[in-house]
Amino acid sequence: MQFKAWRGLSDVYRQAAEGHSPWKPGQESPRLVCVENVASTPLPEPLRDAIDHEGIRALAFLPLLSHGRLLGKLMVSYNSPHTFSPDELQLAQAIANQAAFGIERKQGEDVTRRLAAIVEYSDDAIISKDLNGIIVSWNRGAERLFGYTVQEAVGQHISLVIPPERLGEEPGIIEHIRHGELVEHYETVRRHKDGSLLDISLTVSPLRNEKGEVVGASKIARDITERKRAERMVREAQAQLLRHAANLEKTVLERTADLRASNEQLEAFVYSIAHDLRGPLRSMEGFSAMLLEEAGAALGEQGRNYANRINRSAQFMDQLLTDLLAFSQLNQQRIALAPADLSRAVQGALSLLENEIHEKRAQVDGSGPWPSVLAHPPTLGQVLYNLLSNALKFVAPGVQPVVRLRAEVCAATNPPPSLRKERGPSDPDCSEDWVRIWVEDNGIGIAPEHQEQIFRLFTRLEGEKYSGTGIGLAIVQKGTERMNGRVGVQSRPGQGSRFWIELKKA
Amino acid sequence: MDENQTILLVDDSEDDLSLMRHAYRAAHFKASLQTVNNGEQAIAYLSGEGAFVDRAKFPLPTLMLLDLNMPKVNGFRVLSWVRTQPGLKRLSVIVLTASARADDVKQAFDLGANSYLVKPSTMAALIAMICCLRDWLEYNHFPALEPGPSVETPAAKGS
Repeated sequence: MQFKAWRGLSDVYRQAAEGHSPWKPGQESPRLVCVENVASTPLPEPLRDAIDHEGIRALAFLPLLSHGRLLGKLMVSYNSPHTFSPDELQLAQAIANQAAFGIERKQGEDVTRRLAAIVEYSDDAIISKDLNGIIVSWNRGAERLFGYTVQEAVGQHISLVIPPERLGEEPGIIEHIRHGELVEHYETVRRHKDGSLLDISLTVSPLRNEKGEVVGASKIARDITERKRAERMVREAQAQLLRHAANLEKTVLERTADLRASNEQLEAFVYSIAHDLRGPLRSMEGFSAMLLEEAGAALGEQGRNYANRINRSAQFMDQLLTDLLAFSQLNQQRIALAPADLSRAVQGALSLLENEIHEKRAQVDGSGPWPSVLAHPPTLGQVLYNLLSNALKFVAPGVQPVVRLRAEVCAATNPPPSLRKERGPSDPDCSEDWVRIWVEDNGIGIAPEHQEQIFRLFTRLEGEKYSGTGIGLAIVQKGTERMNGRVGVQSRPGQGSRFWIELKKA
Repeated sequence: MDENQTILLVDDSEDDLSLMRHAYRAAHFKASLQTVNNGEQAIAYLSGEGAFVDRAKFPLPTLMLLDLNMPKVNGFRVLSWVRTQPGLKRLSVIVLTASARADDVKQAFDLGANSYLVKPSTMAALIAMICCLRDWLEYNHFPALEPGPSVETPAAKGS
């Protein structure tokens, strides 16, 4: 309770009495309170002091009521004890009622003004219309959004802002409203005064009179043009991205096809070179052989020597071409890895070298067991052939080659003595998944400082002391690499060599 | 096979022809050897045309050894031509070439070759191969070829 108007009361009293009320807040039907004699009535202490000090001896409190709701109080005070007559109280109550009425009206006006300001200054367009669709109110937001001033809009039909193709929406909206239903966040298109189209989100709610009857609609229209544009841009960006991706895929396919084509061309080129070079070699070998056969006697020893060298060179070069072709094909071909029968590959290599094994009276042990490995059989055969051929070849003069081929399944605690950086799978330690194939010989051995370079193309450590093209180990390394395996050697000069390759177990 | 029968060797390399002749002698081949230098000549020989009209001098062969890589009319064309000629289509044709390519082998057999041999790189190996051929000829039975006029096909007319 706060003082709003007074006469004859001091500041001191008012301050002390501020906030006091004979009625509790929310009390239903607060009634008139008369205090005919202050002295004989119990009052709260601070208030009694203030009343005594002020000289008040009698009081009456009249509630200001609006529909049973307490708005405030009218207080009359006397400086001597007073008996209130019914007429007095009636008059006071009448005054109180008038005051209540006035206060209520003012409060209502305040509320109305506040609400009106909220509507007026809202950013959103807030429009109200009657059930015939005639615009009744038009806020600044609506002026901004649609371009019509309040004077131009009020009194017009709402179709003023509806594009022709959307006119059918209005009856539907009105129907909802008539039934007291809300239309929320309805996305549609409306039209600006200048004819341009606007993306709008509408919320329409029914307006009711005091009787609760629906008499019109209140629309809030929010401009979602920006949002719609952002959505469109996102969609376009997505479409563009898809187009780019498709383009990229197409380009990749084309490039791959090109690459494949040029790889094929390269292969054809390499092949045709090898093929064409072979012709003259055949001639050189053949005619030198014929020379030796038909005119050997006439040539004399030196002449025969020359003819022999020509012949051997031709044969050597032919072997070089063969090996080079094999090596280049290891790079070219797409090889698919599949479980391969190691025992079969070993047998194949052994039978290819049968003659040589026999001639050198070599002892070769290729008995199993041979686990299955993930490999490419022709390449695996090539690798084993080259390793075995070397083992048979590089023995000291007069020594019988003794060769052992065996397989070992790697255990996790037994890492390989890997000489080379690992290629293919990245686990540095040996795991259960690998098979190491050993080719062990009793040959001349290889010094540690050379164990790296022997795998290089055309490297022949012993030069021409031993036959060979210097391509064999390069084929072994490249072939193993293509099968995602690893290769290495353990050796010391004079102590034989143990070559190993590692392939994934299958 | 005997002295009365003829082998026609077709190869565009004079060197290879010389080497082959030497290998034949070394293998003691009984049959007579005729050689031509290109595909057109091979067709002319088999047709008995041009320089090869005299069948006494240039008898129809029992077996043709055919190189593949020849300019203008290559071995494949000669082979497919032969297989279209009624009087020649049973002719035994062995492809003898430097190419070991799988595609060439396939194509040769698709066109009806009877065998595919790859020229070895040494004389010794060539002689060994010819000896094999000679031995095979001893065992093989050859069909009769009815001599007749050649059929005009595009392959026969130039390149």
